[in-house]
Amino acid sequence: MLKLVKFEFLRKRMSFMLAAALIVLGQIYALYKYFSINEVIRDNFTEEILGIFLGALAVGLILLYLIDLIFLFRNDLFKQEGYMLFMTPNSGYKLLGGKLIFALLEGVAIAGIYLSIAFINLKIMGLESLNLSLLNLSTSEIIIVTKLLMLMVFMIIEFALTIYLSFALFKSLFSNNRFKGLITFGIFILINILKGKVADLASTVLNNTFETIHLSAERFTLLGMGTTLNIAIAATLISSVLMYLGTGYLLEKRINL
Amino acid sequence: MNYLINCINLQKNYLKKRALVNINLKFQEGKIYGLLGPNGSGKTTLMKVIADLHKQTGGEITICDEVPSHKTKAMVAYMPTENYVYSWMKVKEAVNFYRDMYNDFDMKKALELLSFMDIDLEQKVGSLSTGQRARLKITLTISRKVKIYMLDEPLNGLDPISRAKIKECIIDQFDEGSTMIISTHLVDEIEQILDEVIFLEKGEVVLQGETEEMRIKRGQSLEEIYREVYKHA
Repeated sequence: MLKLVKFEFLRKRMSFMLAAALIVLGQIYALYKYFSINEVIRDNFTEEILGIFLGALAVGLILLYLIDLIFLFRNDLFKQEGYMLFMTPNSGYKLLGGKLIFALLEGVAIAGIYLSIAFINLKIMGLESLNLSLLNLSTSEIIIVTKLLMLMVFMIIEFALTIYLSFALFKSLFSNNRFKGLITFGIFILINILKGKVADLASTVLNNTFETIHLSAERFTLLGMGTTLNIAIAATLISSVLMYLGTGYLLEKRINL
Repeated sequence: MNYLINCINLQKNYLKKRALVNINLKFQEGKIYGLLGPNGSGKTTLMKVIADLHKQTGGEITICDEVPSHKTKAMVAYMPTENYVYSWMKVKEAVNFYRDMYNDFDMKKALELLSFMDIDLEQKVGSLSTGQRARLKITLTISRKVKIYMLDEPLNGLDPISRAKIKECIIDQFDEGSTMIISTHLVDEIEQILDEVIFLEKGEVVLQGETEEMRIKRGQSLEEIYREVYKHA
């Protein structure tokens, strides 16, 4: 599996270098623009400017990451060069696992880059006081933050797997169907609708449960959030495992490259 | 008799098109087979089913007594006709990829063959000429130590120098303990090295047998037989 992850890193190194160069240039340009603003306006709206910059950067990075997740698998399944990977004696599950691990590591790296940029800009703009520290959070708050991060990770995996399952269906069960593209897209939509329905159901059950319990406002929020997160994590994890097994099976037993 | 590949009533359909129709074939150890036929006759489909890149629609197939899976991929070295080596790689990275992914890959042999094929390790695959790419593909495939080698159209669209180098490579590197299947429609180029030939037409085996026996029996060269078999194609 590690060899597969190493291969994905090798494949992406040029894109990484290009992205890094673009980020540095973007940062320099943003700072240039920031210091070009009238000093009075700049001093009064520093936090707002930083917020807009970091918000735009987050949206940009997330979009790029999602596009990259799609192409990570698409290129191997739909291009001739994919034979090179699919000819190797690795099972479908292993090939998929390698890509998921890489996707996760890439996500962590992007998050790290984002936080570094945020930190650097806080320093440059003299807003260190805004710098949040986990040390100021209570234990239950730290647990909530950790669960939120876990949920984000699982949601990324789940999102990637929904797309990968659709691709695998396209190249296996429906590879001989004239309307395979349409059917596969329909299945992608259906999976997402199903996931939404399950989430709605879980949230309804939760709300009904909490309405019968009387707790202080703060405890209610933390307890409620914690339980909601537990259920969301469990649901995302179960859905990811099911999709991983399904996609791995199709890659192993039914693929027509 | 030691058969490495066994196909029983093998079928493969694409939509309504029948790419393989009830194929019954056995491939024996120590022989080089020619899979002959015009474009669209089913040669590549048969190879892809053996390589487990395509799944059959019906019938059975075994590779060393196992149904095709990721396990049989370790026994089969397949060279597709497509330019499958990642164009972003340098030649040395492609070689390293094979070393990492295949336990049977012989690095020393690969480096010797690359030198024989006049391919620079530092060159980018995307910048190689058609002939160089074909030579790289065959080097990577032949440098594995496996029971089954399959070369899909290894001489197609190549210059005489590349063709000569590839033919020499095939003859020198063939191991009696393995089997090699070469698909081609350039029969005259390769007929000297084929032990057995299988003629495919519209997914069906229309003629098969020992090359030498067929030549003597019919009093024709393999190319003449080919022309006769496909005169209506």
